[in-house]
Amino acid sequence: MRNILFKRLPGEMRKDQSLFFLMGDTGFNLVEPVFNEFPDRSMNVGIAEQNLIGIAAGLVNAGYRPICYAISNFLVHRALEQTRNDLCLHDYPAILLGTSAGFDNGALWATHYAVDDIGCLKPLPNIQIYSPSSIESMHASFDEILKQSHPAYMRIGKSEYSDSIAPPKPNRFAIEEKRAKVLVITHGKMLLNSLEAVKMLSGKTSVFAMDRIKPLDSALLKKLFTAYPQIIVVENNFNSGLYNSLCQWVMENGIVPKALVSIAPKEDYGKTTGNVAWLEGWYGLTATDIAKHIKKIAA
Amino acid sequence: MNATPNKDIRRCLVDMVQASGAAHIGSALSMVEIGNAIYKGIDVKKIKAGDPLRDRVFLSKGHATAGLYAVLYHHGLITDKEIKTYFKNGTVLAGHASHHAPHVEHSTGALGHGLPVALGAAIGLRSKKSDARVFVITGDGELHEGSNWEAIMLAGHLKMGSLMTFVDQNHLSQFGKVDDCCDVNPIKDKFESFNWNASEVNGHDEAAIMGTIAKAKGSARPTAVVCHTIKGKGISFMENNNIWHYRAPQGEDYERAKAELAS
Repeated sequence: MRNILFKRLPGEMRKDQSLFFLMGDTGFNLVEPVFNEFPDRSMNVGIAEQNLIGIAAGLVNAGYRPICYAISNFLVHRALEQTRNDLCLHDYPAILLGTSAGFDNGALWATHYAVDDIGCLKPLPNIQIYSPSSIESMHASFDEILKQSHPAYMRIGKSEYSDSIAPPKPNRFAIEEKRAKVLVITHGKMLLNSLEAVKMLSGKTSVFAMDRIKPLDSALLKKLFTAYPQIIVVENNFNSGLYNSLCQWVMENGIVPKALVSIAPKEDYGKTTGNVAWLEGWYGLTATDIAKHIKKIAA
Repeated sequence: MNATPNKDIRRCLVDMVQASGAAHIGSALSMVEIGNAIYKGIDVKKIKAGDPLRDRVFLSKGHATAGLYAVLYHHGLITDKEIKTYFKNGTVLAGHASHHAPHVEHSTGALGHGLPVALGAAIGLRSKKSDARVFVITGDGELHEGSNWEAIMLAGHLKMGSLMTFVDQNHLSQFGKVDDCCDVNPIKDKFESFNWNASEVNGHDEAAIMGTIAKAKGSARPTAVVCHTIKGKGISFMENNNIWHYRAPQGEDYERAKAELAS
């Protein structure tokens, strides 16, 4: 997904002279075209994420719109206070592009997981959070980010899933089954696993990809929570992520479904390591795991 | 050197702190000459006009914001009405530097943020082919924060000559002596080893500070000036007495402070 986004970046930087690309020494064989074409509007600040975000704030102060690229775990956690104070407090429209969502870094282990990034950023005022679930929704999310004027974080997974739909905006049904009682709400790479799970069950379940996690679309949620009595939230983030937001939304809006279930990794970084498939199995995020939950809730 | 304006600034900030009961007067008093010298050395009209290519000043030691506000007031960037709102409910002159206050570039308070942001502004201005300058005031205890050194290292590497940092070395942090906790010295040598020009001055000698600003203009490298200062400077019983990191002068203390600044 990131390769496709980076193919798009030079065009956006040609169109918008205020875009300034910053990175924290990552993106080998990916970011070079940006550096070659825009030497005055691109910079590798080194392995220094606090500085990366501080510099981004300074660039906004000087009239630029920075795009900050780094691996999510470093971008979000190492620089959290800078994102809070230097970006969100000032409502500076810096764009944070974080790669390696969820367990994408696999056997590199816990220091490189991004399973708590949404929960970390979500409480910060002004920030917009996106977790695109397909190439098309990534483009739609990026379009939306470019149009608005707040700090934004895009959590980019390693999935290259294409749903061949060009949605006018992020957030859409991947499967809309009119007679279904169960709705799976998911984001990022977990859309793929959720779709596979529904296939295993021969339908009767709808799947909604919530590409934009913050701000929530309240009007949309009212429709979804009214139409579906049983909702399962699938994400490769601890349940401090979208599930947590939806629970809050439910209580604030008084539209309480019969069931609101989380399928998310338990809050434990784990002792053992493994590749993405192994970790998804370990944490109960495979299509089979999701299918079991759907079956149980629908029974 | 004309000392009177700096006494005016000190009188102003003593009144602000007395009226508000706010803390950090010692830190504000130590940076008065640094702040005043910087604003004397730059085009205040451009700042007032919000010119995108104005020089920029970042107070990284945001807890000393009473000092910054008093300097801004002295230079006509904060009004008489506004300065009286310091620390008051429902106003924007907060107890740490706030970008909602007039002509404050950036909100600070958590330490170690000013230098990276200032470097970003300097990078942006250089990219726009502007010769605008960027000034930062940090504390010495603040240099314990590692984020400073990320910015210092990169600024040296980038030869960011438009960036100038003043270290207000008053030797005291919240808990006591900065160097008892973790020695930050030799600060000048450290900056030089990160490819900056660096010098040391008496941080209460406004003319000397202005001299460093003039000298650094057009420099090929960023410049650091280690300013030897006294926390609580100008009020005898506050000088080097860290209780004034916390306390606001009231009653007899206030009268005595005002009397000392009147002479």
